[in-house]
Amino acid sequence: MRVIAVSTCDVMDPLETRYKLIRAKLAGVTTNMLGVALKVLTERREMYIEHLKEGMKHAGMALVLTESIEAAENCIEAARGWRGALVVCGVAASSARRLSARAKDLNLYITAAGDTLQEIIEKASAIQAAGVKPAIAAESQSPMKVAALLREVGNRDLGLRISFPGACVKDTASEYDMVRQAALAMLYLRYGADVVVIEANFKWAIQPIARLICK
Amino acid sequence: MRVGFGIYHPMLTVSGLMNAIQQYLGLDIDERIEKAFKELESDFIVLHWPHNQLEQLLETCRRWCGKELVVRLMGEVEPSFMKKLSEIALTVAPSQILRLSPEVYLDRKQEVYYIEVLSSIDIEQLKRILAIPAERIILDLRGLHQNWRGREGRFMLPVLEAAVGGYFLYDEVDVVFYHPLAHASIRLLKEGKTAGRNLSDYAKLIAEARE
Repeated sequence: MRVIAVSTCDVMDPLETRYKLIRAKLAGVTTNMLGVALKVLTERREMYIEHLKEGMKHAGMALVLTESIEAAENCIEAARGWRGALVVCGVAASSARRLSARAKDLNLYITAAGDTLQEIIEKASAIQAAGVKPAIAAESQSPMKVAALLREVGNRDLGLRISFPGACVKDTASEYDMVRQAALAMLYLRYGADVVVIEANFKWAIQPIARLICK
Repeated sequence: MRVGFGIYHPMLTVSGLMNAIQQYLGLDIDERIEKAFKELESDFIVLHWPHNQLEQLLETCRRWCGKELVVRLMGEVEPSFMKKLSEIALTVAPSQILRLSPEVYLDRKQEVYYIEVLSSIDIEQLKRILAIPAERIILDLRGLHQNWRGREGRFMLPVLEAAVGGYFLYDEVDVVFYHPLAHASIRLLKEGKTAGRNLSDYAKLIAEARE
């Protein structure tokens, strides 16, 4: 599986989420290869639900980045009946059973994160035991560490592999930031990432990657 | 990975670890080679050489015997000349051009592959490059610029170059750029090279991850 997920974490207006996704499509990303990454804050329920609904209209995957199980449950509720994949990041592995019970027919993934591979393996196993598909969020300051983790996770078949080459790239990104993001996206895909989350404020940030992988 | 910058103008000085030099009539090629080795601290130089100036090439190779020159011969060249070239100096590596389609050369082991990456490249072809059993692979990304013009080209080309280059970030693949806007890509790939200098670090990280 290869998915380009457009980060909308800094976006306030759901319309902007729509524009970003449409822009990604115009750049050549097909719906089944398009994802949306949303920051889900508990106190802004109406807003994130609106963002999620926009995402579900245009993308085949939604990643919700949250730290609250209640917010994750709200997202599951909003996604009921959707045929895309909902990936919940940031909740404890022990919450998997509770979320699984609500997910029913939904294509749900929960991410296992950790500082060591052992920790990730344990969390992924717990998520799997709860009847939910695990995903791994590979985040690190060092691209080399991310590449190593992606490879190791791939060798052990621990689940969907998500990487964040666009982390810290903002609306005011320089050419260098864009270039760096593109290079890291391809590097992570090389090392087995299934999903790359990128900032796509400018279409030329996403179009070259789409050209290479969406054929 | 080593990164380089195509130098088509004798006065252009860009810091690079490798340089690609195009031979033109009337320009002093030796002066440029000297500049690249001394001032730009190149590890090696890729020479793009037209097939109708082979005698001059032999002369140049004799003069730079002991330095690492990779010669990309442009046009059809007699095998006897290739032999002659390799007899002059062992550090001269005759290169072959590999266009990424159709599937040619991939089963042939040779010293150097000079690969022109065209704008039709995709991820499957990138994977095929990784599988080439060569001691050295040089990627020339200038072909990515085909049919890219105006604003689209201005903003997208450096990103596309970096995306292709980034795929090989921790590999022993050398990349040649030639685009006035390629500086950002070069900066990044140099960072990558620095980060990936010691490949045993990578093995160490894997080992730590296993613990």
